[in-house]
Amino acid sequence: MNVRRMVIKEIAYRKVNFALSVLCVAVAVASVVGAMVVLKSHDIRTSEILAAKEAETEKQMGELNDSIRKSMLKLGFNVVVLPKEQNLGDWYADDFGAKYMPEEYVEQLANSKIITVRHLLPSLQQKLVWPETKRKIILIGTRGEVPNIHKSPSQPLIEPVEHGTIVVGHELHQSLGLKVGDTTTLLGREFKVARCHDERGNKDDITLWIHLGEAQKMLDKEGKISAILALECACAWADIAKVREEICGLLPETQVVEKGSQAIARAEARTRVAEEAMASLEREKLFRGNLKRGREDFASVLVCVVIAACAFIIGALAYGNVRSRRWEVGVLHSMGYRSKQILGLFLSKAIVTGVLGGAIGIAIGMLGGVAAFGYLEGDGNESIGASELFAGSYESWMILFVSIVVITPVFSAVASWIPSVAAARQYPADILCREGV
Amino acid sequence: MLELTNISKRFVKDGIIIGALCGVNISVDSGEFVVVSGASGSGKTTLLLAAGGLMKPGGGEVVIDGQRPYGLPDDERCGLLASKTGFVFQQFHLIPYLNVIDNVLVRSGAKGSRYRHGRAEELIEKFGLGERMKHYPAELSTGEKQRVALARAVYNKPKLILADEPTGNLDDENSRIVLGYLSEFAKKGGAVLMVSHDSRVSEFAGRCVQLEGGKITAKETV
Repeated sequence: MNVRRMVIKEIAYRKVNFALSVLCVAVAVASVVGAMVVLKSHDIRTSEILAAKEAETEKQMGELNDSIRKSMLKLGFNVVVLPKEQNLGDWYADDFGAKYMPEEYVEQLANSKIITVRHLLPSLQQKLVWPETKRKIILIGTRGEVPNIHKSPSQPLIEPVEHGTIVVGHELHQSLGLKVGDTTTLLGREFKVARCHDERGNKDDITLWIHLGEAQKMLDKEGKISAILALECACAWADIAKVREEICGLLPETQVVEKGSQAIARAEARTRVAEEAMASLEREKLFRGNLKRGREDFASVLVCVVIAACAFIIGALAYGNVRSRRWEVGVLHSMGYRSKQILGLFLSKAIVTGVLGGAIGIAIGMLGGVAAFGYLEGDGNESIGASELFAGSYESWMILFVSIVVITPVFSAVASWIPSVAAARQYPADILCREGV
Repeated sequence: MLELTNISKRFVKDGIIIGALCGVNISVDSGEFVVVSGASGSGKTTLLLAAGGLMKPGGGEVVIDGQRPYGLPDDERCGLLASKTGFVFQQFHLIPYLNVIDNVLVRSGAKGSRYRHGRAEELIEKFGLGERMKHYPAELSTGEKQRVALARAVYNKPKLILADEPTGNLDDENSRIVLGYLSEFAKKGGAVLMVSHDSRVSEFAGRCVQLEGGKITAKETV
């Protein structure tokens, strides 16, 4: 008959005492594991919610961007870079510049690291009389968008006008009977009509667009341009001061004017929408963060109270168990059992209680935690599964479980320690005398 | 086998000093069955516990088979009790969660030796409890319980049995069985020290000692 066998027999004999002790350990462990599961589930659900919200925001912003880009195409560009000596009064009155600056400015701008400017369109503009038709027109030479080597390639906003082709404003092609594919002569050079614009109700209706290089040659302004149309980076559309500062910093001989208040308004609206989306995301993060802190606080209090209560109950049960077996201690001493053997008899039971209670507590804690989280969230979503809980943190959970299996027997033994030691150290004669030998 | 020399023991209760034993001298040789009788409170149980190495006396010397239990380290004292002595109590003190055979085998655990089922079964059969081997103490009569306690006491083949009123709760028939076995144990070379105020024991004992107020007042060889 060894201690192990005696422990098993004693457990089988005092089932209720043992079951209550195991239950206490299980409840204590379950409260810890359950709290961990709830908090981990919270993190997982928070990540899911924020990821979904971010994806939704990104999608909405993408749609908004597309919408704004389309709007911007129709509205024109939102800033124009002009030569510094250009009189802005003339420019506003005539709607085009009569001063020129080097074409290489656009290259400098494109190759710079200015982050606010994405799309650059150099142009040479001049108001003149179309000799062949005797009509007053605005001639614009454009070479289309200059690629910005520092930004990711983006969809060109305006298709370039190819060499030998011409794009005709609405009033001109209507009055002159020009159609796409027709050939027309401008300043003695023949051009094929590439596109005829619909009515816009502004100076575009009396404008001809040709390739920049051809315009420079025809107007004897080789290497010169009169304006650079720039579309800002979407994130800073509304910040004209920043754009002006950056461009003038790079090209001191220029000035920057805002163009297209509707575009700015829309950009501002878009910025506000973006800001609101970000604020909403931040609010959600804050809400989830506060919710987690609340749950952490509640869990820490609950776990402490439960553990303290369980430790007290286990201690009381152990004390009661030892007290009811006092005479057994005396008898075992009389048979020659050593104090450490008797201590082992009581502590072994505590250890078995701890291991079994720990294992049951883990199972209850996992299931209870998942159920409690589902109840707390109450969002009708699917509960967090074991695979999600363990994903990426398998080792952490294993460490927790192993710690529990190691700690709970110690916890249980500590709770039983004082009465057990007291029993083992009792003078056998005292017990036997008290119990009536 | 057992020598008690000038044993004294005092208890203090509520500030009052009670002299339980006062200079008691008793020796029990191998083959002797000695009974200590006396009224309640005369110090019989104190004497037995002191003799059995379970209560250190205030003065005097206890020698069991040439060894002084109270002068030994705890482990060695426990080893001495486990191998040389066997206790029988009036209240039997069987362990309630062990059946009859396990209650006998529990003695093997003290020495950490392998338990011998054969020896335990043989003893249980000898005490007429062969049919009760798997029964628990709660299922036994008082006489049967004491017989199990006796089997437990002798399982390790001790040289000395210390019995405290072993017949106090037994009927005539069971008392005779128990006393008969103790007598037989002594005749086979064992030593028995029994405390009792049962008049029936005198026909089994080899020597009776009267204890009064913690002192031996009469010695009588039967």
